Amino acid sequence: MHCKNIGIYVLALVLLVIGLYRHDYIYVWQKASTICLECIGIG
Amino acid sequence: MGKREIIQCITAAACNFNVSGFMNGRIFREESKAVCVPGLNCYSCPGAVAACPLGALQSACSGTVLRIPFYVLGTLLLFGIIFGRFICGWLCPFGLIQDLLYRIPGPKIEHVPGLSVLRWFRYMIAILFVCILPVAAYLISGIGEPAFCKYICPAGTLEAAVPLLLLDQSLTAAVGWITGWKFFLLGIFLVSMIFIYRPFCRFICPLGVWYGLFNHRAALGISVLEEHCTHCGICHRVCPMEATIAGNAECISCGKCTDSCPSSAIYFRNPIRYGGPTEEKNK
Amino acid sequence: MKKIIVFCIAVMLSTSIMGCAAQESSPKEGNNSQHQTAVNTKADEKAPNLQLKTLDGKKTSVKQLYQDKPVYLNFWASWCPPCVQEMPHIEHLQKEYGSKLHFVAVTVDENPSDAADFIKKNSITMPVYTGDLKAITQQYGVSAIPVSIIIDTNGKIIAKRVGGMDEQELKEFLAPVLNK
Repeated sequence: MHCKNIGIYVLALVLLVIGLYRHDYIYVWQKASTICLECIGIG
Repeated sequence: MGKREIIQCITAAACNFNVSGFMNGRIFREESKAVCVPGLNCYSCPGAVAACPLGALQSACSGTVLRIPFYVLGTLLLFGIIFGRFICGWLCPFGLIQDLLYRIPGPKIEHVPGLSVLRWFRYMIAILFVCILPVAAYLISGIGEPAFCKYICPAGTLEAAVPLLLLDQSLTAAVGWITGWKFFLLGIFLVSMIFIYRPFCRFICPLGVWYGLFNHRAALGISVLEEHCTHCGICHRVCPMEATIAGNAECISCGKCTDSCPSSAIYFRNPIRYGGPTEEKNK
Repeated sequence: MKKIIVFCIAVMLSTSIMGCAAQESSPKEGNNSQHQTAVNTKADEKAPNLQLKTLDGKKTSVKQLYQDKPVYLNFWASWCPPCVQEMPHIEHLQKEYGSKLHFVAVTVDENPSDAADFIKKNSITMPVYTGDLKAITQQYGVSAIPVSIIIDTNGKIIAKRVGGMDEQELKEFLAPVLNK
């Protein structure tokens, strides 16, 4: 596997771990589970 | 129906598994909504069981709190490096809708000189509506905006606004000029999808811009054996996305070129035996 | 070829008309009891007794609040642009009509400190509450925000509306209780 590809995999995992540590997924959940009307073009 | 179409249908069904949402107009609220699907599938669709990666990315700049979306960026990077634009061709529900509309009989606009220049438009859309406008809105007014979702995304209009407005009368109270504009845009997209292959993917989609950056190095996708390639241009002529060469940033790995290449130079990258053509191709 | 052109024009017109028709028929008046809502509760129903807590920890409930005055209940979130755009209008009306009804802004932010930051930055003085998000969804069936609800002193929901409002629209929405 190319070195650059390994680097990208590592970077992706690092970002994911940081995001999980900061509970970013909660913000994804809250936005995805409550409709913000303007966001879907009702407004 | 080919293998690709079957996988597209399965993916679309899996992304929108909350069938009861289409009956009662309520959106899914379980924990799976914290996970992003790889393709464009509006999370406000009553059937959606997971989050849209583009919507999730923009929501980081939405409202009064600006956040660096580490989780979403990591997810997008992982999807990109594993799949590239294979996602567009095989795993995107909105791609499936476009493929189905293109099957409607009628004249098809293909290989029109100048039309392919429009593919650069999607880079502008990605930079302006996904990167610049949300942050600019935050800096100017203190309130970030999911600009692509709000002003452009036809997936949100078709998959969310349409069913929700039909199922829930009270939402009509919130309808304004943006709704009119988005429905007008949706109309243009739907009509153009009958005559042009995947116009949204080719000219507008910011997610395709991102995944296209990884097309050459993703684990899955199309590659060209340089030593066998004679630059005859047949792959470009048969390519529905009008990619200049197989496997470039325009390529959605539909595979139409793999059988057409007279030098057998084009192959699907096999992630298990990474980097080379399959044994079958070698024969 | 002509048939296709006619078909195209028909599809484009119909989708544009659908968008515009939705805009035309959108009920702007506050009382929309004929319509089913994005809120589980219907007009003329008893308002579910939601337990509330202010951002500094004081507890109350919807029932306690409507004992003495009607309640204007607004569900919002700091990440929702139309919600935060209408907050200053609600604040302004609260200063004007706060003696006639309770202005109750309930945030559905997962992290209430985001709401608290917004309140502080924008000098919002009206009480902002938080509550059990599952109860908010189940009891009031809030799936789209912002949502505005008026509850009278008998605990009956007399009006509700989904979507952001400017100050004029808010005044018209609150007219049934302000003019009493």
